[in-house]
Amino acid sequence: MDTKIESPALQEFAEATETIVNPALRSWKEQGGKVAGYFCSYAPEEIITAAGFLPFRMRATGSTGTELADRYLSDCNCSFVRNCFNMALSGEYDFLDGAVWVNSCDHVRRVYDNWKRKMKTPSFLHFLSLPKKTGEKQVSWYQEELTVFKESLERHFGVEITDERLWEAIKLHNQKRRLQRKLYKLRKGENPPITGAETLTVIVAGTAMPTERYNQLLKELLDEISGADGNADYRARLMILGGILDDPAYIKVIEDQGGLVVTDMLCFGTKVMWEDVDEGTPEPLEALARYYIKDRPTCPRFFGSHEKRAAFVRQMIREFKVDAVIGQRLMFCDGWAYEHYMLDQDFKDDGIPHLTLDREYLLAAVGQLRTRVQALLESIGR
Amino acid sequence: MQRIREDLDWYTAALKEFDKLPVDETKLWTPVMKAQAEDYEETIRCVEEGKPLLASYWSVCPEIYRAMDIHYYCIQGHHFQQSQAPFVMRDLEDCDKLGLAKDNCSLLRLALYYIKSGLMPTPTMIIHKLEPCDALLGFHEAVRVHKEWRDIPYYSLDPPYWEDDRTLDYYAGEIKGLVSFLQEQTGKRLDIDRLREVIEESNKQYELWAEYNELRRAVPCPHGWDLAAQLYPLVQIYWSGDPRCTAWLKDMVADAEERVRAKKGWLDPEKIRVLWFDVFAFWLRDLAAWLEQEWRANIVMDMSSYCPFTLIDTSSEYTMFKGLGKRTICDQIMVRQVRGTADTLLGDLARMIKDYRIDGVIPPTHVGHKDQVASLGLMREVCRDLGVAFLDMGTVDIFDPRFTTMDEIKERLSRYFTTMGLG
Repeated sequence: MDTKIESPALQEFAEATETIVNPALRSWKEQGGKVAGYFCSYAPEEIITAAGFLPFRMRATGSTGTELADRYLSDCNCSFVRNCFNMALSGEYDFLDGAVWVNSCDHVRRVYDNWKRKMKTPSFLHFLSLPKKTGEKQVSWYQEELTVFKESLERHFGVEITDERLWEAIKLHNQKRRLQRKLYKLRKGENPPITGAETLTVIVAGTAMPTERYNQLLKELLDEISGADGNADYRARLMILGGILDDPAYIKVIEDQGGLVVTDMLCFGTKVMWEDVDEGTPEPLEALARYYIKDRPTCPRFFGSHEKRAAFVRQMIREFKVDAVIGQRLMFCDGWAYEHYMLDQDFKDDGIPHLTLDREYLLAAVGQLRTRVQALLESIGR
Repeated sequence: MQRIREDLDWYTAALKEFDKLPVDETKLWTPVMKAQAEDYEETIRCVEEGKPLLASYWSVCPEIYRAMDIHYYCIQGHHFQQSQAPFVMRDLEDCDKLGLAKDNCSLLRLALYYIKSGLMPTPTMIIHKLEPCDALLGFHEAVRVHKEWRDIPYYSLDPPYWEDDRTLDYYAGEIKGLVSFLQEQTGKRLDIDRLREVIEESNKQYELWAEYNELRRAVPCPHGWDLAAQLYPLVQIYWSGDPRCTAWLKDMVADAEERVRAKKGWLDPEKIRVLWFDVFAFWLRDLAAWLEQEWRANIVMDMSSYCPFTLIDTSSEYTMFKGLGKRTICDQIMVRQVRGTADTLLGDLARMIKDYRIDGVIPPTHVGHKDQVASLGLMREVCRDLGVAFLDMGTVDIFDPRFTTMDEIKERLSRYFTTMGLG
């Protein structure tokens, strides 16, 4: 499925997505700006922004191998962390001024341990203990973790992160989320003006460039495509869900078979923008803790949350008129292995056509992917 | 409960055979067998008589269960004791059809298969423990939403990543929630004085365990791996806080001490001292026997037997709950080494190598232990710095012998031993 959009904004988003050090990030650094990398969408980008830094979500885009990382990691660690740590060891993350982890999964949390011992930069490393339940006690726990993180940033970099700055950052990121939701709303129509691959490009770019600039570009893109002719030549409307997926080319392979991806449940997707941080909460750090632990669509790493995710998927299927669901998982990801197992049961019970795919972080086995998607589309008579 | 009945039959028959042997030959093993058989019998009794039956995890405050007189079994490991049974291979093949990714831990896949196929005893309540690994949390979530089990009341404990006071206070709160849940489900009250009594007994057991481990440092090591490996299940699962366990531990210590005094090693000669730096594998008994016979190599320490459990201060309810919290998330095998940062894992590795005069370390390369294999490079460096062999078997599945055959593992280890002149 070829893109129909010729937009300078989309072009800039694509540059940000296809590279690590993109032009906007380079310009930020040239002006003396600091960048903090974070490994999971549960790291609070709002606090990084409030410190005056650019939050950059770690990726391994453009990685060419894992030789250096393989000295430390195993072939049953996921290819995201192996490629990512390899890039770090190769010096491709030397532009970072800080790096932040949460105990998001067994693979990612050990990158911290290896990074701490094997990397000289950046000088600021921080790890947040993210609870595994989603109750009020866990909100309080995470609020304390956020406080420790904020104070740690302040101490290390000599910056002051006031409540006022936190609220400004929260509002800025909420604005980003609202704009992203507007983009998704356009995809609900019969002829969505933007493909799934392009949408992923837009969302990934939002984790790699200054948020003010990003919001401005996204407004321009929305203006450009709001009245545009949409994609009508598709065979089925698809939803994609699963763990980390930051490569639009993967979705393009699916869409090239005729399945238009109209929505998702991804952490480069609805999971990070479907809800806002509540600006009516008295304390900004409480608002953030509540958002990350309770309010936003959850990740399988939280116990007791499957029904909420299943309900979210059903809501997406209804709202976006989805014909079939594709679940994808990075090989060796235990959390998503169980989640797909449970969702597969749900889909069978609900009679929802679905397909679950294991994959490597870097696009591979394209022929097999094509065949499986074609088979899915044929199985639903499209 | 078909599997439990099958296994109980085996234990009953074995105990009958024990009765025919001289007491000296069986005195250390008989309590182990009896504890296991009793545990099975009680599980069967609970189901048949409709008594409360708890499905829990290893070492989630077994002292509380004993103090409240609640019987429990390990939901993801009750088949551990059956690992040598002939039906396990068939079950592993059947669980491949579950539709769950095969790069997941087979112990958990097998447990899910047992639940799904009705071979697991149906509990009346469940405790979900969310550490030490992603797979365990995913497994518990799948159990919680499983159609046949979704109405069973449950409670879960959320363990933070750290080990500081704030963490222990938080986790003590989680344990209080556990007690409230159990009280609500069973109608029984937790008597704090009874809990104190059980904890004080368990403190004695941990002291004896530590003493026993000190004796294992002797060269040659007084006991083989197989017997030493029984401390963990007895102290932590079957007889926690039970005076029978204390008595057995005293016998274990006395026997080991006598052998050390007489400089009588389990192997004569003992040529290689091995550290198995992982939890028990289904096939570890076979491997340990081969190591002993073929290479005069003794597994003198392993992750499950290394037990730096701290004693619990029983002066107040607060100190007891906090102490139980520490035991559960900071001391407990695997959870200790795996839950938080890799510092404890690497520190324990270095300490075991030094304390037990290890010649070679078999590192954790289980396909299900994603966080441990992500520390392999760091572990290799620890071994290199301390001048001991790093006996990397390549990726294995410690619960599924089909993944890497025993012959492949033996060949690989033999090459190491030969090349390094360890034999």
